Amino acid sequence: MILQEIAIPSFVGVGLSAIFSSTTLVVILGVFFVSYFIGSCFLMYHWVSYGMGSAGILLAEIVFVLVSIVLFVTAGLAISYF
Amino acid sequence: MSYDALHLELGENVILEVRKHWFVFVGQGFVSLFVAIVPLILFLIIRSYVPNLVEFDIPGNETALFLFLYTLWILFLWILFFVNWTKYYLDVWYVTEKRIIAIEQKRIFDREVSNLRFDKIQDVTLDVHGFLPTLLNFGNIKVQTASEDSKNFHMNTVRHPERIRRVIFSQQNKNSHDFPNKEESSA
Repeated sequence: MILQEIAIPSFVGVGLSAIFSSTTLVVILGVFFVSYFIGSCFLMYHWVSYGMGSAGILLAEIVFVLVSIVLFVTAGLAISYF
Repeated sequence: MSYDALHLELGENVILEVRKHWFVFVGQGFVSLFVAIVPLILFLIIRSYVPNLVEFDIPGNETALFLFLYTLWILFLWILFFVNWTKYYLDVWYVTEKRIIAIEQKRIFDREVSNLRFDKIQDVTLDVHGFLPTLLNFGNIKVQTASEDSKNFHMNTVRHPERIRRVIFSQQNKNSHDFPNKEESSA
């Protein structure tokens, strides 16, 4: 392929090992989780206060929470395999 | 359903909920989906054709790192999707036997609630314009009022606009029969 012949310098030696350690990833995930939790609380407040207890809101709550849990677990597993 | 937050009067019930057509939101959903898969496709293309570009000096598993970052990106889009959905879902008109309660959810922390009694309504106009709106039966609706500030109520891309107009007019007629000429009766 033509693209493979293009000489693009690699990033080896940039020294990313200091940035991307397991500890750093855990800290990033923790900060992200706190931000996500605050955002989720705002959403939940709107749903509970103004959603009038409709079936659509209930379904949204369930889907939002379940998928969020799955994604956070995936992020946690990715760190453990790092 | 519990309409306590609307503070309805005694004996007042919600007849109709008016929301924008789902098609509008599906469009936003597709944009989110596209933005979600673009990093994945880019990563796979670069890894296949220009591998030097993604060779990092990382002590651990590159794929696990990509999965981690990608999951955070999806989580960010996921909550953004629900912020948009909340704006879509909470932007609603409630038509009761006595009035229209128009709730405009402009942004997540920008909410405006207005009431419009049927005796203040002058006209209801519809605008179904284009192939898709005609096919899927959605359009713009505008309620013109006779209030002092002449505030008009409008909502774009609502579902079944003709049905909404019919319900509003039928309630308006019903109200004028139930309470004919309030001023005359009070005099």
